[in-house]
Amino acid sequence: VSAARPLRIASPISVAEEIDGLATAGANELYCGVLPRAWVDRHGPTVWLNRRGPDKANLRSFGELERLVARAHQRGLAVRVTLNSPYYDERQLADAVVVAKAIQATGADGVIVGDPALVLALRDDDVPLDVTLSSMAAVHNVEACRFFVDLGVRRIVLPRYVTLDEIRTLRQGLPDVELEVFILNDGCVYEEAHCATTHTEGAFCMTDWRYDFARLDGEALGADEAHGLARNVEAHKRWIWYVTNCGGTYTERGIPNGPCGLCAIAELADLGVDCLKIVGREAHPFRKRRSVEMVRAIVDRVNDGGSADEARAASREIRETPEHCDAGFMCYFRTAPEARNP
Amino acid sequence: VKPPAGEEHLARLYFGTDFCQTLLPTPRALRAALEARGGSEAGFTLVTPPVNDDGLARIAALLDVLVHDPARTRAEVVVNDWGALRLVARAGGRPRPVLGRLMTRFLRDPRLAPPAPSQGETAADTAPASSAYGRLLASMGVEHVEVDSGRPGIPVDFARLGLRPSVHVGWASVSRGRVCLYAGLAQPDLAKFTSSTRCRRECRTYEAAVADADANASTRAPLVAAGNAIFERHDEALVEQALACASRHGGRVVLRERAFSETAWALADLPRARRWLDTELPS
Repeated sequence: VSAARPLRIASPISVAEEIDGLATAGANELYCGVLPRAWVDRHGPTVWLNRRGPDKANLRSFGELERLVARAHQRGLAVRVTLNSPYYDERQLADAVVVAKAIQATGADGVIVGDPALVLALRDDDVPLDVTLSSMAAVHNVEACRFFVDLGVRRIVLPRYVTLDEIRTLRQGLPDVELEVFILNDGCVYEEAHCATTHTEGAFCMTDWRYDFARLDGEALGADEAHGLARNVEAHKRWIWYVTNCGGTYTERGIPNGPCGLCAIAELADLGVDCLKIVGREAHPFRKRRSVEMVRAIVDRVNDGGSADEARAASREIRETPEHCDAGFMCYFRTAPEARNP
Repeated sequence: VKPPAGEEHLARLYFGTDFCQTLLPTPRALRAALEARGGSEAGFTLVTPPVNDDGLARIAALLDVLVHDPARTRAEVVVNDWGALRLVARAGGRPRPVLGRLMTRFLRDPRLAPPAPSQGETAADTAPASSAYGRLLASMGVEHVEVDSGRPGIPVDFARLGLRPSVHVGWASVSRGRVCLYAGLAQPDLAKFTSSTRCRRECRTYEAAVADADANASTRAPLVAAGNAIFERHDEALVEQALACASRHGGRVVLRERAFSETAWALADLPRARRWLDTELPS
C-alpha cells in the first residue's frame, strides 16, 4: 500500500464535550452544524440550515461553535461546518452567507456546501473559508468536479455508492483536489441529492411499500415472474434494513451495525483518497467514538504497511458480525461480481 | 404519446432518460431517432442522466452526432449533471444545454399538502434563487430549465434566473438513486443493489404501483416505482399547475406515455397543448 497522503478521519460532532473522546479515538477532523435561533425565527423549524434538523445534531449558537473550535484546535483537530442544504431560497441564501461569515469569525476551518448557488455566493462575497463540496452536489465525474473547483471548492465529498473504479478515475483526473468518501454509518436508499422528499415528514425511503407489479406490454405476470419479483422485493427490504443501520442495532460489545467501508480502506488509501467520513452528527457520543475507533484501527494497520487482505480480515474481526459482512448489503464499496469480472 | 396530428412541426421530440446512465442510447440509436423525426421541422431534445466518467464519454459521443446533424441549431441536450453541462456548453450553443429536472431542486414530497389556491405557484420557497446563479447558467448557454409539477407547487423564480420552463406533465419524479430495484432481478443477492449491478433493462418490462402498507398512512398519493426512481402520478390539479406555470413563464409542456419512457413530446403552444393533453394524457 502506497498512500500518497496519509488518510484522515472526519468525525461528526454535536457538542464540545465530545472532542476529547473523539480526539483520543483517533479523529483528525471534525464536522458539525450550527442552527442559530435567528434562523429558526426567520425561516421556521422545518426549513433546515443543513442536512440535520433542530434536535440533537446541531449546536445552538455561534458562541457554542467558537468554544468547540477553540477546544478542537487545542487538540489539533480542524473543524468544518455544514451548510449543506440541497438548496436555499432567495432569503435563505442571503442569510446563509451571513451565517457563513459568522462561522468564519468563530475560527472554523471551512464549510461544507451542497448548493451551487451558495458556493457562488461565498466566492462572490469573498468569504475567506475553505469550501468543501458536500455529497449533496452529486458529482460523479471529473468534469463535474472541475465545475465546482473552478468556483473555489478545494475538497469534494463523493456521494455514497461511488465505486472504487470511479474513485480511481476521479483521482487521476483531479490530482490537485482533496477527495473524501463515506466510510461508516447511515446509508441512503436513493441518491441523497436526487431525492425531493423531506425528512421532516420521516424518511420516505423507509416506508413499508406494498408493490403491485405489472408488465409494461399489458400481458399478465407469469407465476415465475411474480415469484421472482416478490423475492426481489424481499431482498430489497433486507438491503434497506442494512442501509438504515441494521435497524439501529449494536453488537454486544457496542459496535454500531450499519453501512461500512472498513474493508476497502487499504484500497482507498492506495487510490489516494484523502479523508474518510463517518456519518451521524445526531448520534449518541458513544456511537461516534466507537465509529472513530473502528476506522482508526484499520487506518493504522494500513499505515503500518498491512496488506489489503490483512485490513479486510481485521475489519471483519472488528465488526464482530461475519453474517452481516457476508450478506454484502452492509458494504459501502461492494462491487457487483459481474462488474468486477465482466 | 403522439404529437398533435397535423401540427407535428410545432412539437419537439424528447429522446432519452433523465434517470439512468445504463439507458443512454448508442450513437446509432440516436441517429435512428433523429431520422424518425423525419423531414418535419420538429425540434429535437436529447435527454441525459447523471453520469460517471464512462457515461460522460458516452454523452460526448452522442454530442458528436448532434453537432453534425443538419438540424443542430434546433437541437437541445437536457443535462442532469454538472459535467455534462460543461461538455455541452463547449459546443457553443449548437446544441443548446437545458438544465434537467434533477438539477433544479425543490420539494416534491407526495406526503406534503399542496398549497392553498390563494398562495399561487410560489407558495413555498423559491429555489434555486440567486441572480449570480442565473448569470452562471446564462454564461453556459442555459435558457431553459426542466421542472416537474409536484407538491407543493413549482417554486422556481424563473424570471430572476432568466430561464423559461419545460414542465413535465403526467408524473413528477420524487426520488431517484443509482441503486435500482429492478436491475438486480436476475442477479444473485450479492450482486443486487449496487451502483455497478449489471442489468438486463428489466425496467423496460416491469413497473409497479406502490402504496404505503400502513393503512393509516397520511398520504394515498398514486406512486409508481419505475426504473431507478419513484414518481407521483399527476392528478388534475397538478396538471393544471403545470399548464399554468408554462403559460405564465413562456414555457412548454412535456408529455410522455409512462414515467420512465425514453421518448416524449413537448409543445409550447399552450392552447394546443391543453387540447393535446385532453386526448393524449394517459388515463
